[in-house]
Amino acid sequence: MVKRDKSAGKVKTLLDPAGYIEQSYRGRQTTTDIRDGVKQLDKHSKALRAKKKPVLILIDISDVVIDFDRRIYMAGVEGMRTISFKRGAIYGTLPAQILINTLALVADKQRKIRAFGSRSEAIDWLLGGNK
Amino acid sequence: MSSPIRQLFEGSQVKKFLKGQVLFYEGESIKKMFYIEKGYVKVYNILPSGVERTIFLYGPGDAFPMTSYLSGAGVVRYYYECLSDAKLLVITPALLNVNVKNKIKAAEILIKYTSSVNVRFAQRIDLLAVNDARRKIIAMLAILVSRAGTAGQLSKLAVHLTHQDIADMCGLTRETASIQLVRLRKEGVLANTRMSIVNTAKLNKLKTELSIVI
Repeated sequence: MVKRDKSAGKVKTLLDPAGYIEQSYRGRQTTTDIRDGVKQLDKHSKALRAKKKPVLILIDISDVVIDFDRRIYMAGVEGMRTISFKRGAIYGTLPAQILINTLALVADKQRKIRAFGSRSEAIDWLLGGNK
Repeated sequence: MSSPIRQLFEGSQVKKFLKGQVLFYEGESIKKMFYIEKGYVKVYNILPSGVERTIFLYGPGDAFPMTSYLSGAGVVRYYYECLSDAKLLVITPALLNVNVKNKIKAAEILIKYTSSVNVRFAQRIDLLAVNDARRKIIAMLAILVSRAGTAGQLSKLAVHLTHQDIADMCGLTRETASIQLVRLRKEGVLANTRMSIVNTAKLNKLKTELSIVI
């Protein structure tokens, strides 16, 4: 019998009144969690594009457990390539920042995706205050 | 010695640098990255008091400043200086990006490597916070043996260091460093006066006694 990891599957997505999509991940992630998260982002992205609004994404991974797992990396890269967006700002710990920026290089999205150490820095860049 | 990270330096230039040459100044933007083929590079900062404090030591098979680059900081946080003559591979960030693009294996190598460097950095910073000259010097000798020493009970260091060098590396005055180094020589941890041979069995015993993890 396979036990389900209780820390997995904690992905929340909402549309912030400021106009950007906000998503947060908690705990240990599986490829299924990441694909679920990408689906949620895609749904919001389509809705914003239908309204001819720019797609800006803010993701909180400050409480994510970083695993050295190629399948998770691939799911992340796949997600970066799948969604149509203008900018994606992600914030978390130093290992999380390194992970995201490295995967952005693999996906060739380093100009659109950036990782930061704090939420305020991430929002600043996302909304264009800091190029 | 070659490490997996070397493959990310495809298309890089080979350059030779002299001992004492500064490769990065604190706060400098990252326009190049290095892989060490031969030699050693020390990473340090300068405290407001003017004291130089060595944070880290890179040796053959290491690449830098990967953490600063991949964290998105855009600038280096420390000084990087050749501790010996060095042969390095030099690559631009743009070319490194090309070498990583579409390669998940390359991402794995980078993430694993930066993670191990971060752990070593954290251990080192913990030790620097300790206000104990003997502990600092024993920890530094352990780092030197692991990064620049030969295998075996009597480890020969590939870099020649003076008491002043050791003092700088540990954030101590030369006088304090000398007192501790003389004591370590009497205890047989340092097997010669030039500090180029370390008795690893005795060093490891002291590390265990003082709970030093390197």
